[in-house]
Amino acid sequence: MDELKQPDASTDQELVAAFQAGDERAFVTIVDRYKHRLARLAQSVVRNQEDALDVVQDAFVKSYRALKRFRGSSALYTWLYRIVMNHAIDLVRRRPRVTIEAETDQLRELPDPQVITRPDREALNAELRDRIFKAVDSLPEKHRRVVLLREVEGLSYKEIAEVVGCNEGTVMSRLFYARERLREKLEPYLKSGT
Amino acid sequence: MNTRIEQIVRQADGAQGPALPTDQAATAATHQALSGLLKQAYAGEPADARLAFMAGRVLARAKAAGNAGIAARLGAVWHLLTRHYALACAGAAVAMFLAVSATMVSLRPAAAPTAKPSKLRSFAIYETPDGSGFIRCFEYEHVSQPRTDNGSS
Repeated sequence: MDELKQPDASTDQELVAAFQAGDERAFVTIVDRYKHRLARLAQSVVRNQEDALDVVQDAFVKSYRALKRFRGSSALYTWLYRIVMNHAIDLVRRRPRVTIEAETDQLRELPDPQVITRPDREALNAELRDRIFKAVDSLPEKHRRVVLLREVEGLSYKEIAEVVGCNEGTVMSRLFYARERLREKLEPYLKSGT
Repeated sequence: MNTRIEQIVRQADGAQGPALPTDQAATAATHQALSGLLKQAYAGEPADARLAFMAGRVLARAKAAGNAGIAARLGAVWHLLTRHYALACAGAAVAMFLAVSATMVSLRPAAAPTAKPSKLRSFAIYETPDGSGFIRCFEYEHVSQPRTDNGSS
């Protein structure tokens, strides 16, 4: 790789250009750069490590072919996020639908919310974590995408807009209503934190 | 977009902004707590050995898929060519049959009519697209009768 002396220091655009010029090591660098973040995103959707890794691998195989035609109209990582998110959502759609249980009774069985008033400091109880996952899973797909990209990946509103293909205003609107729905489902765990 | 929603979302995400009315500030604070809860729930990343070797596996699969694609395209072209080849063979066989038939008919001596009608046999070889073939025998018989004096035949 004469033109690409230090691939890890190269920008995404340089890596894409190098790959399009026939340098496969540039693609390896792209995979290594994004695999963890993409795996985390996939896992947040499919909630199964094995499936998440399959999703990421499939997405990279697809991107290997598509990257040759990538014109850079969006950032590489938002493009990759979109592929992974679509793959993950497709996988979840193909699964048998799991019914979300009635919230109230289930919440009563969980540990006292007072114990976990500071989620930033306390390790989350496994049951509460499961409850959160189910609440997020119950969101409409367009809301779930936005919430996960924001809360799990920390993408900006603009980046989320690129990934999901809408404008920033729509992203914020979806984020607001998604949080409102989650608040209704998880209220007992939020009261003491507010 | 609704400015109120935008302000609540931005403040819930930690942005500084103008002071919100009490109810909206409470919503923003609740959303902020919820955001922290979600971040905590989804914290951690897959620590699987498969991630360490993902690039190698992706390249291998991508190339294998590429080779399969090339093989499929070559197969399709070959299939097309063999179909055309078979049609060409069949066409040539028919043409040859017609040429041989015409030649034999023209070379047939204009002998006096015999009691036994003349017969012409020809064989055509056909090749089907799947590579098999068949032979067809064509037999022609000259049935014209000599004219009688009153013109009937």
